Amino acid sequence: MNMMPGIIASASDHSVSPGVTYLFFGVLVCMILCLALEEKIHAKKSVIVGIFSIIALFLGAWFHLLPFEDVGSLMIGGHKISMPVYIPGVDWEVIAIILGSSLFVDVTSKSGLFTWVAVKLTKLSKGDPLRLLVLYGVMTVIFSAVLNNVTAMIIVGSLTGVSLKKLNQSDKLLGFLLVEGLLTNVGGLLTLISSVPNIIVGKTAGIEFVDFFVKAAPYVVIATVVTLWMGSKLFKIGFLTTEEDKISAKKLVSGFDENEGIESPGFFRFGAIMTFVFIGTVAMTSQLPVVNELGLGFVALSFAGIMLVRYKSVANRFYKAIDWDLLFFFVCLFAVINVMEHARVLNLIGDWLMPILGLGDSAGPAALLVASAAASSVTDNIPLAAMLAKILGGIPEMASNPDSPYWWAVIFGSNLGGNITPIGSASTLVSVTIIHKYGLKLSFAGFVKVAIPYAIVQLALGVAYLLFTA
Amino acid sequence: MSTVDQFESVFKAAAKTTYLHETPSFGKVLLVTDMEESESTLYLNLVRQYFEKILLPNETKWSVLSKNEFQTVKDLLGKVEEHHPDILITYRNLRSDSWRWPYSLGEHLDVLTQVTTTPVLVLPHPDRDDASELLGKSPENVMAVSGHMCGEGTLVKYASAFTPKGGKLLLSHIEDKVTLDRYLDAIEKIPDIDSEVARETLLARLLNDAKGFSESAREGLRQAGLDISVECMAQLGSRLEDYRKLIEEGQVDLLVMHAKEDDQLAMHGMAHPLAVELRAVPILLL
Repeated sequence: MNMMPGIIASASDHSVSPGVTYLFFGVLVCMILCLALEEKIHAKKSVIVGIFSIIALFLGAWFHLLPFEDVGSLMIGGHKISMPVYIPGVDWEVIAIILGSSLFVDVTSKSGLFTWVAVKLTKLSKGDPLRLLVLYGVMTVIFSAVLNNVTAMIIVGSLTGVSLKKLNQSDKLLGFLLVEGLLTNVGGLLTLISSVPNIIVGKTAGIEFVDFFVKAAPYVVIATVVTLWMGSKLFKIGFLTTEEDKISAKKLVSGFDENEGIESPGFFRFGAIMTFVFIGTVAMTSQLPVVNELGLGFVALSFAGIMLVRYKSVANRFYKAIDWDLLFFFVCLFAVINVMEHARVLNLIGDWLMPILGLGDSAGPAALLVASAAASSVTDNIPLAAMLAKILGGIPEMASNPDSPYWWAVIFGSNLGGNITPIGSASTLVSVTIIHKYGLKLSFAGFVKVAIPYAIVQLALGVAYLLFTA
Repeated sequence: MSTVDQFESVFKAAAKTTYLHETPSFGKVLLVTDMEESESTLYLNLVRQYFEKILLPNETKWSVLSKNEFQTVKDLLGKVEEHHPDILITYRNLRSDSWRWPYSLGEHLDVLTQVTTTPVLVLPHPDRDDASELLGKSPENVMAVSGHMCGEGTLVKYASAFTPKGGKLLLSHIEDKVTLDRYLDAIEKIPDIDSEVARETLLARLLNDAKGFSESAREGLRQAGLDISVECMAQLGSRLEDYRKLIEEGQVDLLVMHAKEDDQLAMHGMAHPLAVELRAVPILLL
């Protein structure tokens, strides 16, 4: 499928002068730069994007780009409804999925389920470093897929610090944490709800949960095996050799008590059952009558609500723990992208992407994957995914084809790009934070130097896989 | 739970310290007295009888240091070095009559307990009116007095070794109420820490760690085949008062505690007042 320039559908029918489009493009570039320098300017994502959403909305209103008339006289179910102009641009389904699943995970983690699994796997390793690396690696991938990358990294990273200290293997901590950080982004590819770019792109493309899993799973397995193999070689993590060391490690690891985090066995069992039911329901959402109309966001929020019943009197504690920075970031980001759409900035970027899309079915997706990875390595992968999803969604041939390799190029690129630099994804940032917490030195350049071989191999595998399955 | 710190806390709590049993050897015992040689021999017989169920006659070689064999602390240390015993048995305030006042262990013991790595068993002073009564019946109930309990394997090892077959070993941990209240008062003045959560959980955590290790020790001793009953006790209170009460109630025949602290030359902060003030019960200082 070769794309010709100028076929991207415009979200707005009105004409916009090139000068105004470039002005808004400048605002977008500034916002992306600020997000890339988030750590340097000591500002939260939500504040950065919030400020730019104010600027974008103000300029959008100033240049008469925003559809005030449309949102002022909406007819829904026979009722006239008016709403602020920045509301319809927000993808509330995505917000509901993120809010619901993070609440669900937070309450379920109180049951001790995830820590139980983590400690059980630690004991299963018998304290052998290589076995531990493999088990923690697999656990990172599965937790990243089922929970979210950041929570997975927090759970596995904190356990790694404690267990390696207990096993007197703290010298291997850097290797473990780095490999786990890199695997969060690989595991983040496994399901439709594993990472935010997956949710945004998958939803825009209309990819079903099961289709997503079937397509992504083989790659995730291959990339995990290769990453673990590289990690064991590059960080010299091997099996224990002497019988004495094996017995000593086994004794040390047997001191772990997997039941420590379980407050109530009943709630533990309930949490385990609900986790499986949640994953099953998410996977089956499009097939379930009634639920398929309400969508994934409803499913996530409903499961969160059911879990909260256990803590009904202290539910406010969980509300406090919600990542409001992330949620406000999304709301503001959608508002900014909506304004950019009206200012035809997305059309402009889409036109620039045409040479890439015009490379053909093999080179095109490969180039888009690499370009997406490069872009998401230096800035947040979420705006990138949201923007590219909008642009690709504006191309009729792609909007009607969820199997198009271009969608997958964006998904793979935006996820794996996070492995090139420590700021490329939230989970690698958490991994570096834990590394620093344990007093290990790892600079930005140091991370890139260590991580780049993994990232190159993972991207090469991604390109090869995409071409093979196209 | 959503932060590294929260999960780290759960995993740290899950990484429990377990007790691994080892049997200490008491092949060579040195009794130090400030009596004449003939009196020392009589006293040795009394002490041997007192410990007959623990320091078995066919497995233990006894030696005695009497009054004439040492004068100064230096002399005593030299003699101990010479004998190289597995355990020292003596009493407080050697070569002094200040044993009548509960203010010190005496210069010899103050130095001995800190300089030598050999455990020192301090008996009630032989000049006490009730001395023969106190040593009349072999110890049956032994109490290990812990600082933290968690990780104090040596304490359990020695305490179990001094518990005769069929006897009772009480693994005790008393969290000092005054100290805890001071910390909680300070926490109440820190806005970033939830005072209610701290009050609810801090004590429980402290006691749980002690109980967890005690339970693991109980299991370890059972697996080692020691025919003793092990009880675990962890509570909030005043150490000196609570231990005194237990001793007065006749529940304890011998106390075992650590006398050394890694970061100080003086005796262990908790052991000193107990060793000085609880004078009617034998105390094994490690």
